Amino acid sequence: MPKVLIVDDEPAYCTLLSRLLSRQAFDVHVASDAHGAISVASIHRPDVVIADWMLRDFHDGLDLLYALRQAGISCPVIMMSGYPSEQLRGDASDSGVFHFLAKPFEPEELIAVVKRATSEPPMTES
Amino acid sequence: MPVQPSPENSGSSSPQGDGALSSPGVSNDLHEYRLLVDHADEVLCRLTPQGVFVFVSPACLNVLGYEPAQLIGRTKRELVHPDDHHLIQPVPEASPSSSQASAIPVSDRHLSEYRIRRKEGRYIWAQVRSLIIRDEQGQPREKITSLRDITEHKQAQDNLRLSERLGSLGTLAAGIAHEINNPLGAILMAAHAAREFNQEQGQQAMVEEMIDQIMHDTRRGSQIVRGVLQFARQQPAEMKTVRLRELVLSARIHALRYLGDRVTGKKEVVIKVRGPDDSPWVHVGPVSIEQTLINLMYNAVDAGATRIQVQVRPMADVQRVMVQVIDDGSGMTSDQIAHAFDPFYTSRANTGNTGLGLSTAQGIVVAHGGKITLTSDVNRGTTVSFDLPMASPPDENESTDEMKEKDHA
Repeated sequence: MPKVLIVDDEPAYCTLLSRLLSRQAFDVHVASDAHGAISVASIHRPDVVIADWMLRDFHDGLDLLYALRQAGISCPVIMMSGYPSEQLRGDASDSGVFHFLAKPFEPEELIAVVKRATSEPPMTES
Repeated sequence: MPVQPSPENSGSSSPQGDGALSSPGVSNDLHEYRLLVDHADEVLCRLTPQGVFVFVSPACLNVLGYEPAQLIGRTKRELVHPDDHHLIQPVPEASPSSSQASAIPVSDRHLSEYRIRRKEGRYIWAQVRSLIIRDEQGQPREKITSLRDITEHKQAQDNLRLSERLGSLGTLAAGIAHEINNPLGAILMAAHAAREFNQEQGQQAMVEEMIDQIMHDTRRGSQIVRGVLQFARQQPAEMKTVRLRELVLSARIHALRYLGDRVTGKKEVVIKVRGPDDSPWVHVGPVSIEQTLINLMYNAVDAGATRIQVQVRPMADVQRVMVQVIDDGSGMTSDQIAHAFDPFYTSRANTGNTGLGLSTAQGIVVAHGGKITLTSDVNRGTTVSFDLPMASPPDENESTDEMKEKDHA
């Protein structure tokens, strides 16, 4: 089963997303902040990370992405945000975020993106 | 150096050296002075102390649309917009208040901005500087004025202010969008899951759980909307004279109820009210102030306080009442303190906190003419202080709502 790491400081999102994805036959891990995410990811080596753009303990999603990469985590990262501006989408895709989802998103869309992220060949470090 | 009379001087009405200052590098040749006056962009005028034009420089054609001769004998006042008359320099005092003849009284200098009507009727915004010239006996002799058109500058200022307001409105809108989209996302996912569970056997409990989640997040969304409306509504609707103690006790009830509603956190909180036995009266928007107290107490509860103390201290000398909400909760880091009053800033995103509590409180306190400050120490607690306008107790003859109720009891 492909492994997914969900990172959101809202417990409701962690629970709901976990349930959604485990019913789609993913092995789900959760973290409620960026630091937790990095340690869980280092231990469990997920195939995809889904994270909220605005985590309490990190400045923004880009910082989180860089921190994950620095920790040797090279899997695709999907970002979600309650306020996605065009600017944010642009910044996100430029810096290697796999996909940017605006909250509230259609659960089917999330499932489709996660499937795509875990079926494509792993990203090579540039 | 005495002023040399020059050919241009003869027959003119300009003062010849009375009070004239000579400085190095500046010629006493009046022809050269005249060049400066004729070509300045500002309208340079001499007026009687009562404000009647005696001399107007040629720039007035460009700035005001008048030939200089058309203004001589008229008063500046008649050109000024009626609503701005109070901004014109008042007629100077007959003799200076200062004992030193050489010192210029402060009121002799005047700088103001007001609207002046051009010849064709259009008003411009003018920046006007005036100076009263006095003779050796200190009597006002005339007024020297320079006037420049600042209409464009004023327009630019207004535009800047508008764009600042829109900018902050944009930021607020972005914050609101973010705050509401989160619960909406949770609702959508829960509904999606509920539908799936509903189609399976024996999953009623899960369906129930999903429905609970939907209700919880709908309430949260509604809380956020309420918070935003409160934030927008910082100006108190109706001011009343009430006993501060009533508001504090009412807020206390709300806070204790809130504590009971919370799933996690300490169950026991003591909220004490300290103040003079004869509780001061304040003239406030009661709902707004109660809201402020509630916000502060909620924050204390969220910070894990076991004791919350509300201290009321009347400051008779300034006719204000100081209120302090002191808690022994987890306190705030210096970063949190720095952002405490920022709208939507919260360190507790997942407890339904909108991040608008302190921001709203600040708006309310400021609307009451007061100031709100916050001090905090990590693991020691937080103190929020603010002040309200003190009031004298309502007349004994007037029956308050309280008394009316007692009569009908």
